[in-house]
Amino acid sequence: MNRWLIGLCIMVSATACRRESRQPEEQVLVASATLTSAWIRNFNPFSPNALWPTRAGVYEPLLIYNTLTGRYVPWLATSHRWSDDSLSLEFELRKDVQWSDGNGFDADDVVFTFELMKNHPALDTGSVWQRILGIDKLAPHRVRFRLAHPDYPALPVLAHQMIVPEHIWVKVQAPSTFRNETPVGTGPYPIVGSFRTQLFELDKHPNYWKKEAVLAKKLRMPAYQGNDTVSLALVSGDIDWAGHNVPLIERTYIPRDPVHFKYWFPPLGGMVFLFANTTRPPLDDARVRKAISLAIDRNRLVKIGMSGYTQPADGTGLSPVYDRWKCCKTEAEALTRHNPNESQALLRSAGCRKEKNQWTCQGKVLRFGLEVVNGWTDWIRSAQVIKQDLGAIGIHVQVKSYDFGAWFEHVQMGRFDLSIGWSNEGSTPYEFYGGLASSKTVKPVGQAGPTNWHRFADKTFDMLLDTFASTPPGLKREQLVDQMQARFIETLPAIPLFPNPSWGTYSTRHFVGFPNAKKPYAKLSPHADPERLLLMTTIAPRTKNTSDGIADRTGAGGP
Amino acid sequence: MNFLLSKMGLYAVAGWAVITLNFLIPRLMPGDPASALFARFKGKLKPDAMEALRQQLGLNDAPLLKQYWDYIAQLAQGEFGLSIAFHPEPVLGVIKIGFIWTVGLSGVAVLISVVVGTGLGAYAAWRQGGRFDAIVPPAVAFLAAFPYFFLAMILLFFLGLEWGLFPLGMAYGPYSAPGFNGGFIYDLVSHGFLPCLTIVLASLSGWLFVMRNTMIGVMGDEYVCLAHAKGLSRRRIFVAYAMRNALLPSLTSFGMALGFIVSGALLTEVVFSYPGLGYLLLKAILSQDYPLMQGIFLMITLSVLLANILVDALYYVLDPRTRGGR
Repeated sequence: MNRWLIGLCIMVSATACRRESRQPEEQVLVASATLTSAWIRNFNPFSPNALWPTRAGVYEPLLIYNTLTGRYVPWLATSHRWSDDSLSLEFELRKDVQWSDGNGFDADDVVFTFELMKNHPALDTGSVWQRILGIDKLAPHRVRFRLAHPDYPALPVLAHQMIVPEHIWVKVQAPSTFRNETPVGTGPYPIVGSFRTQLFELDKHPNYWKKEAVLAKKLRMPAYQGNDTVSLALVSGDIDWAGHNVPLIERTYIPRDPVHFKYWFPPLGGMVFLFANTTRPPLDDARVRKAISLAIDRNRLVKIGMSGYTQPADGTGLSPVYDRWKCCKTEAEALTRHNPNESQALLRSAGCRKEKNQWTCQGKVLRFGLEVVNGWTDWIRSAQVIKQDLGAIGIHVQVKSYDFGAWFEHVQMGRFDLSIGWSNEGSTPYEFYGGLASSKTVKPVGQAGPTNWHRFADKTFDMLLDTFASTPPGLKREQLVDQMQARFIETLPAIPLFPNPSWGTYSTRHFVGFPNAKKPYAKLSPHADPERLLLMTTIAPRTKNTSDGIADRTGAGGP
Repeated sequence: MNFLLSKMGLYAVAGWAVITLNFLIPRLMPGDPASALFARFKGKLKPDAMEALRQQLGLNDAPLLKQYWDYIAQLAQGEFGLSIAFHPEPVLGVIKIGFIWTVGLSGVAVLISVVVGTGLGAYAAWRQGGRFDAIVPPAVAFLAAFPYFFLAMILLFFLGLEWGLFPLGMAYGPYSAPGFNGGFIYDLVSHGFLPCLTIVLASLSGWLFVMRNTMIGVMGDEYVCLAHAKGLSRRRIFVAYAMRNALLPSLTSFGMALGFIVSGALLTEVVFSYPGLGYLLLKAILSQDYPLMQGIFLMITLSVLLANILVDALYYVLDPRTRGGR
């Protein structure tokens, strides 16, 4: 028995002493974007299960829309130009780009990529071919898209398509089930160096076109299965760049190495809404929806539900990503400020009556089920706050949590009263409002709709959205967005709660030049696709003479 | 022979029932795989993507009966189709990734548990009424009362996190390359220690009690009495006469346990981030991955059935009474 114990003790102490550390000279960038217990080798950029960073990492798009500057950064294309009749869009391609196998990149690759999606509609997840009629090669490095009608929102869809090499993919028989185990790309890290169940590494492009980029030798992705394991790896400094929600980050992560460990959780994610099903009266009445909005104390909601990592929404529903589009600050903020008295006055004006702390509208008692997803603790906490706030003015809410599949079916089919949910993200408010208030996105109750779960349709919105699509960038477009915002405030199709934070943490022990609140040249989140390319080609390995003072050097992020 | 034939018939019916339930149950879940996949992007994917996703995943709204027929036809060819959560990886490929880890972990754990449990049980019977017998069996029974995952979390919290004695998860360290060398094997063992310990602690009591109780029963049998009368040593009687006979029931449950190896450690794996089938099954359920769920469930149920067949066959050989009914 004693020998046993001694053996155990030796083993135990040996484990405790071992700690792998990384030398700075290795120049390995360790990143963690997705959680899994085992990597499955799939570098097909058309597959929704492609490994991070197949899209925007192995492969690259023509242009990158930088949400922070509101500009398109030239990438595989150096410029784009709309024709005068707005029926065609030309891209001038970069001439000095090489695929990772040494072949040159040219217009044939771009034409091939789009033709591939035409021949295999399963690959066309952006519905490109519903917008374009065709694509032509005009010169070895110039392509033109032909459109059926003026459609300016097509630009981000076309510009963000990942381009694959013709000379490789032309041999692929079934591209939608192709696993692309040894990819050939133009991106900064296109070569699979090693691949194991728990860890894989991508090597840098031997001849990357962006010459000023100082790349790491390798990009390393360990598999972490859950938030706990990844948080632990973060605090021990194993990861340089990650995009996970770390609870109490000021107390758990930062104190471990305040000089090098940083985070930036700007509210630049999608807007989170409280959706009210407009097919269920009295929720079809804008005054009732507004009353609900005014009854919610969003400051408390953000503090309790989101641990203070974000800020309250305003009545336009636009997240801070769209700050440059915003109009009508006063009206917008008045609609989301906690104001129980105003809320009850609105209900009275809608013809509702209050008896024994219980509201009745159109003959119906205001009593709603609020649906959330099991295990999504931030939403569940938020729902509890909403329940308390609405209960305080006499609207009774019952929080119902379902498993994800059941919840998603309810909202898609329109079988719910109230539900928390996300919204569309896009480069302009057009995509965002389209999913919230366009009659094109409304499906009858019982038929699954990917967006517009609350089933709100409005003629004014339809008109504004259609006009926007055919209006070139400029003052007129901004005016249209102003009108959309005014209409949103007027009708309040859905009740905005708070923008999601964009999670990002980094360590400057081995790499410098990450974006942060002081130098917001791009989003920090590794999930920002394709913007992460801006970050990946701006950060650089720390050299021996990098001092911590200049560690956060200014990032260029393209012209 | 009739005994075996009728047993085989029974297993054929059970096998068909398993395959059919395996087909039906996942489809009774709310939601569908394309929506689940779409939802993972939380608004980052264009709404129009849904149709392309359905096509890519090969989903169709064929009538249930036709889907059932296709499923049977595929199974007959040993085809499980493509996984949805890990599309386009084939289901068999995904299962292969987790299978080794699960079988390795649970297999070792079951073996340890059987050997240690049976040994402790025999020793408790040997010292029946003594101090060992008074302390160890109740203590083991107490441990077994904890659910697997709870025990796993307690061990992880104290031995892993608080005292830092063991790694907190995964099958081996992120920086060690798999291979046949001391370093890697050491790494493997230190990572597998806590999950293995969890399973052993939780399943020890079954083996211990079966062994202890049958031993006590056998020790009172007449042939043991005769052996005593012949003047054989107590040790010899215990090991060569009593233990050999008392092992029979344990042997049959060992067969059963082999069948449960595949399914046994799901929760333990989830707690320790062990890359076995447990995590894959969880992921399959969360993303409504019918083919993968079916593949894993089939694996589990068939291995239980197979183990049962083996046990029955073993009984046929070992116990003459089963052969009597002709």
